[in-house]
Formats: sequence, structure tokens, C-alpha cells
Amino acid sequence: MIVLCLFFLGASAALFLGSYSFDELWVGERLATSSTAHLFGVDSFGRDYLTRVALGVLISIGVGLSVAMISLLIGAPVGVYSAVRGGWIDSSTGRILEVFFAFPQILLALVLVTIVGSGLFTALLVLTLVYIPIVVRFVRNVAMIEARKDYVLSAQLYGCSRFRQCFVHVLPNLWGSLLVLASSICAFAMIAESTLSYLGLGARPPVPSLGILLTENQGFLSTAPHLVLFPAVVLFLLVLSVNQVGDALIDKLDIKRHFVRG
Amino acid sequence: MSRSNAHRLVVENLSVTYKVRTSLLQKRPLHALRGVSFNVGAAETLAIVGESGSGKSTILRAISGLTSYDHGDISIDGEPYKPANSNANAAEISLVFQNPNSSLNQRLTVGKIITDPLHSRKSDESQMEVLHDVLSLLKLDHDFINRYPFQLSGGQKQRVAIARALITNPRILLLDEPTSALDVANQDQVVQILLELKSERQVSSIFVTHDLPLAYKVAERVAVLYLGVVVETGTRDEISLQASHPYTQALLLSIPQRKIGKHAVSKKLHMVGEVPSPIDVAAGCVFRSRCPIAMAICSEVAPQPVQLSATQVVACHAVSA
Amino acid sequence: MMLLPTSGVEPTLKVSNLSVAYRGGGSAPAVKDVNLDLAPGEILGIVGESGSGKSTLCMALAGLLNKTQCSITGDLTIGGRSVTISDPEDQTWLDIRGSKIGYIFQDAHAALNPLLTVQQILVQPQTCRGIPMDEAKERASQVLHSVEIPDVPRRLRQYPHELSGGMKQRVVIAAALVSHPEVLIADEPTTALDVTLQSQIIQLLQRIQLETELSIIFISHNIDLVADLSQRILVMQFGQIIEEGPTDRVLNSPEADYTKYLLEFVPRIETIGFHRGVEHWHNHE
Repeated sequence: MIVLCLFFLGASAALFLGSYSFDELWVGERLATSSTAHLFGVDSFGRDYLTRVALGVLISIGVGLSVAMISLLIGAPVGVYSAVRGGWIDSSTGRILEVFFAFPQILLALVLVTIVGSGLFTALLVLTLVYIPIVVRFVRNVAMIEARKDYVLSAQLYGCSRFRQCFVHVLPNLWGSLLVLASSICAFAMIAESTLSYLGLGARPPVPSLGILLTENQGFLSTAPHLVLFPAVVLFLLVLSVNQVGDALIDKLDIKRHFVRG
Repeated sequence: MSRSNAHRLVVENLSVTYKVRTSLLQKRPLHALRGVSFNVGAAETLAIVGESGSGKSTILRAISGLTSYDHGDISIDGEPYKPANSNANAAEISLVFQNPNSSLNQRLTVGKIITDPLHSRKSDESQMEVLHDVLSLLKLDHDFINRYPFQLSGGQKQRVAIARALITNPRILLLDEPTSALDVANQDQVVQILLELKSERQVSSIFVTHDLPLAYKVAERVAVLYLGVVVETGTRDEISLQASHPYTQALLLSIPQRKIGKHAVSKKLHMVGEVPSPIDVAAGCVFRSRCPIAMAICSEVAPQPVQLSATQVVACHAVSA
Repeated sequence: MMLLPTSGVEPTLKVSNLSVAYRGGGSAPAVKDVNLDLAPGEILGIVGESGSGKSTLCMALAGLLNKTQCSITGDLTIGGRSVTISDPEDQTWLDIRGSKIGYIFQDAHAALNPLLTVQQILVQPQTCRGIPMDEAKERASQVLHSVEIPDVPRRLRQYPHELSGGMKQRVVIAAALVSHPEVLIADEPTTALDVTLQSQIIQLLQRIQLETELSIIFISHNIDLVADLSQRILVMQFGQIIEEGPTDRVLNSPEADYTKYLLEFVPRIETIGFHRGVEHWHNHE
């Protein structure tokens, strides 16, 4: 978790404090490795690499968080309502979900992008769309278990409206699972976005998404490996730390609630 | 059992059957309740005593509306009653679950938990008033309003559950083994409170338990349930001093020796086998497989309830009025 | 509190200054400074509510605790031999656990391996001690008979999920008895069972005790149940022994407040009687 925060802070700092813009050219120093002036070196066009990687990080984080939040915002209520409502609405939801999962996600994303067109924003939209069914399925499963518990049955008995049952009783009690789901989706979305931009279907140059950085510089693997190494390692660490964040947050938030018994 | 208006709750011929999957291709009927009839008077507590598989929890679920029943008639104060989960329903019947840890929403404060049934029915001020009333009734500290369930002990949590059940002022309170998850002192406290409730709030209760001495402490009348059939009903004195059904007698004899001050009869129980499966029960008396005096007729015809006195009813071929 | 051993007779089991604490808690010790004697052929009852430490105490006596999770201190002697109580994985336990001491678990469902047949469950503790298979199978049959399970050959081939609750508990008792133990520890064996089954199991234990003269430690939260079976009672609270003594004395003239409190709040039926002398159950002696 600390790592993630460091990343975020580091990337933001690099951008704000750095005196370089991401497409400023230092032609004379092309492909140079790390130096005091350019901590990550300079790429083939002469752009400061640290700036570009930092921006790439921000893009990844941004996409990851947005996809996670939006898909959860839309998918979770659907999942909870379906589980609480039961009956034919729930069975239909189940069937629809099954249809979605007949396709592999990335393939779905690729197809959609090909139809809609490329670009960072479109990539974001497409990914959100693809992840919504995942959220619905997951939330529906955990909500089904929660909705069978005594306190929900009790609410049902004293005439609590379905709406309240969903949003006052069931959903708040799922926060732990939702948090884990959110961090997983964030991590997956980051990788997916990098993949899409690597394939040229997401962000387009000169936007320095980490995937783009990999595409652009893979030809220089033997001559200037740092150009490939930095984004790859950074992406790896980013995803790793996001996965850890979910777990860490649950522990932290849970303990806070458990103060000394009155 | 006359159908007089003196009875607050009358249940007649209640049957609940589930279909369960016994093997990959087969589904068989599980007779949870078979033609159960009983009544509860105003400000009276009826204990329903039974072991596992007796259907005692199913009765509560059917009356409250959590489970649907195949046939049966329920009436409250003479009016026919159809269980439905609604605010209006809550004014008639409330249910207290066995485990206070799962019956309270861990994310809400005690105050919110207790007043939730009143949501959208009363203004905030009158909600607070009723809340304070019910907290005093349950001997709960008013400080608890802002506490969370995890900060309370088991006994306190169960009292919160009872407070929530009472806040809508129900005429009938259903309790599903409310003390079995509690330790001895808390158990006693809850029992005392339930006894006081009768006089303070005039509420009728059905107390389900597997513990006959506990039933005796809590209720004026007891109904003994075996495999979905009421085998005997009576006042608590009749059940303990004049038990006539072999199963009731078995229950009494199973009580560890020390609990009984003086045996009027000195018998040691020798009972074989266990409660048979409620799936696909054949015709005849449900108890015959373990009954020491089972006769030929017991395998063919289910015994009809016989009135032994104004309050005692038993269903056994060996006992006649 | 020191217990006076039955005069002259060497106790089957003796533990002094037993304390158990769960590590990494900082919480109160589960068992605090307990001294306990068990004479041969004696039934000792331990009563306490949940959290009193009664189960932890008995698991320590049987070497069933995990030494990385708890720290155990004290001196334990079983059958005259000293056993390293602080280390349940120590050599001294090899002959004792599962052999000299049999343990009956509360939750029969969790105590039986669902992947093994009843016969395999009963044969394993024997074959791992070097008893030949034939003899082990014979003993398995024999012990199932002694716990009053009907139709033994069929039952031996069944898996736990095919057995009813009461039947499972009998198999657990059989597994505890299979290696001819000297001490049987019964940890709330009837708590999960119906009340009519409970009396069957209690009668079974009484009968087994008469036949084999083994010592039994019987644990329950139900003081009347314990009193029914035991000759001596220990009352535990917060990991300590609050009171001990012969059953009659403890129940009729309790000294400790906690014992009085336990006795007072338990619901009782004072007298029972049957309708017009209609007595269906025959005497069974």
C-alpha cells in the first residue's frame, strides 16, 4: 500500500516538479541512459523518459481507478437487487450473465474497440463495459449469501422495503468483498489498458501510456534496454501494489471499528 | 379446542411440505408439518417443545410468513390471517431469532436497529420516545443507542433483538429458541423479561425450545411436537405431572436425574433409535418406530387428537378419554 | 486448590500447576494453575460455561494442543509415567495420546474423516501402532458392538455422511475406545444431540465404565447432566477451579458463589408424573 502511495506521489511530483514536458525534445541526448539531468534517461525521440513513465503511471492509475469505480457503481446495485429480489428476475440475470461469460473478456474488449475506435477514453469506456458483468456476477454471489442471513430475513418480516433491504442492510455489509473486488478490477484494468495500447488499440502516441512506451521502444531492446525495462518494471510493481492495497485496506478499516468493548 | 374469540391466535391443520432432492434424479416430499393445530390465549405463552426434525422452527416460519404453507387456517382475534411481510404485518406478529449474532445488522447502531421497523411509519421524535420505552422494558442502558452490536454481550444482543421485535407493539411474539445461544445467567434474565412482558404489554408468545424444563419455566401451556405432529398439548402441570403420550414421557424421563426433585414414578428410560427422517413418512402414527407399546393399528392409522380434559389433548391410540 | 487423592491408590492421571495461555494475545490465560487427580475407575465431571477453560484443560491433558499457538506449563503424570505437557510433539506422548487416553469430541460431524469408512477410521489408530490388520478389524467390530450400534457389518462399510447424528457420536466413542484406553475424556459429547439421544449416550458411557473400569473425565456446561454421571465434580470459571468435591456435596451444599449461581439459574421440573398411571416405559436395569 505504501508502495502505491509512493508511486502516486512520485509520479505526480515528477510531473509537477520536473521542468520537462513529455514531448520536449533533447535531440542531442537521444537514447541516453540515466544521468542526473534525466533520471530515467532519454528516449529515441529525445524526450525525457522519467516524465513519460511518470505520466504513464498516472494514466494507468487513472484508468484502473475509473474502471473499478464506475463498474462497481453500476454493477453492484444490480447484483444486490437481483440477489435480494430472487425469483425470475434473479434467474434472468443469471442467464444474461452466462451469455456474457461465453466470451473471453479481452477478446470482447478488442472487438468493441475495433468497432468503436481507438483512443484512451474509448478504451476506458470499453473496459468499464466489459467489467460490469464481472461485478454483477461477483456481487450477486456474495449478496445471495448475505441476503439469507437472519438480520435480512428479520427486515423482510417487519416490512422493510426492498430498496432499504438492499442498500441499508445488505450492501453495506459487503464492503469487504467489494473492496477486494475493486482492487482486483483496478489491477486487471491496468493490465488490460496496457495491453490495448500495446496493440495500438487504446491510447495513441504521443500519449505515454505504459503500453505505448513498450511498443515504441521494443525495437531498442538491445541498444537501450532501459527504455523497455522502466515501463515494464513499473507496470509490474503497480499491479502488485494495487493487489496488496485491497487486503491492507480491509485490515485497517476493520480494526478501527473494533475498539475496546464497552 | 373451541374456536372461541377468547383465543388470540388459532392455528388449525397447518401443513408444510418441501420437496427435497434425495438423489441425482429423485425429489421426495419432506413433511415438515402435518396438520398441526394449536391456540394461544391473550397474554399467554405457549411453549412448543420438540427435538431436531420436529418442525418446531417451521411452525414459526409459516406463521410469520417466511415460509409458505400448503394448507391450514390461521386466525388472530377471530379474524382470518394471511401472513405477509409488510409493515401492517409487523403490528401483528414479530419474530425473534435464535442467534443474536446473525439477527442484528452489524453495521447499524443499536438505536437504528431497534427503530428500523418504524421507518417511514413514525416521525423521528415519536420513534425516540418508543425507543426509550422499549429499552427500559428490556432493561437495556440508554447509552446503548449509539453502540454497535459487536460492543454488546450475547445477552444484551438478544435483548436488542427482542426490543426490535416489540417496537411495533405486536400482539403476538414468536421466539425461536431465543436462549439456547446464551449462557445461564443471560438465559435467566431473558426469561424473567419475557415473563414481565406478559403483564406489561399483554403480548401473547410462542416460545420454541427443545428444553422441557425451560418450557416449564417460561410458559403456561406446552405443546409437544414430534416429526411434524403435535402429540400432546396441555398446561405445564398436566404435561409434567400427567404426561400421557409415550413421547412426552420419554422427554420427561430424559431429563437428568437431578433436575427432578421427586419422581412420582421411578423409571429409567430405555429408548432405542433416533428420530427418523421426515422424508416420505409412511401412514400411521409418526412415533411408532420407537414406541414401546406400538400396536398393529399404529402402523395403519394416524391417531386423532383426544381431549383428556378442558386443556389436555393427546394423539395416541393407547390413550382414550 | 489441592485435591486429596483417594487414599492409598495411585491416581491414573495427575496434573499439577497446569497453566495454558494462548500466544500472541496478551489476553488472560485460558487455564490457570490447575491441579487435578483422577483415580482409576473414577468418573470426574467438569462443569463450566463457555470460556471457562474446561475444553482447553482437557485438550492439554490429552496432548491435543498446538505448542506454537499455546504455551503450556505444568507436571503431568499418566499411568505413573511422566509426560512432557509443554510439548505435545514430544516422544513421551507417543504411547499415551490415542492409546492410553481416548478423546471424545463434541462435534461428531467434524471429528470423523469424511473420506474414510467406519472400519478404516477404527483400524487406523491400531495399525499405526503396529497391530496387524486382521486383529485390528476384529477389534473394530468388537468396539462397534460395545457402543450398541446395530448391524455392525453394514456399518463398517459406511461413510460418516451416511450415518445419523447419534450413530456418528457412537462411532466417535468407539474410536476413542478402540485402543483400550485407561482414561476417557468426553468433551461435551451430548451437547449437539437431542435430549432423548443424550440419555442414551449417558447410559452407554455408564455401562462402558462398569464393564471396563476405565476412568472418565466428563465435561459439560450442564451441571445436572454432569452430576448424573459423575462421582466427583469440578466447577471451573475463567480458567480456574472454583470448587471441587463429591457430587452430592457440591450440588446440595455448594460453597462457592459461582456454583450456587449455576445451580440457581438452571430451569428445573420439580416433580414428574404420568397420566392415570399409564406408564409406557418399562424398567431397564
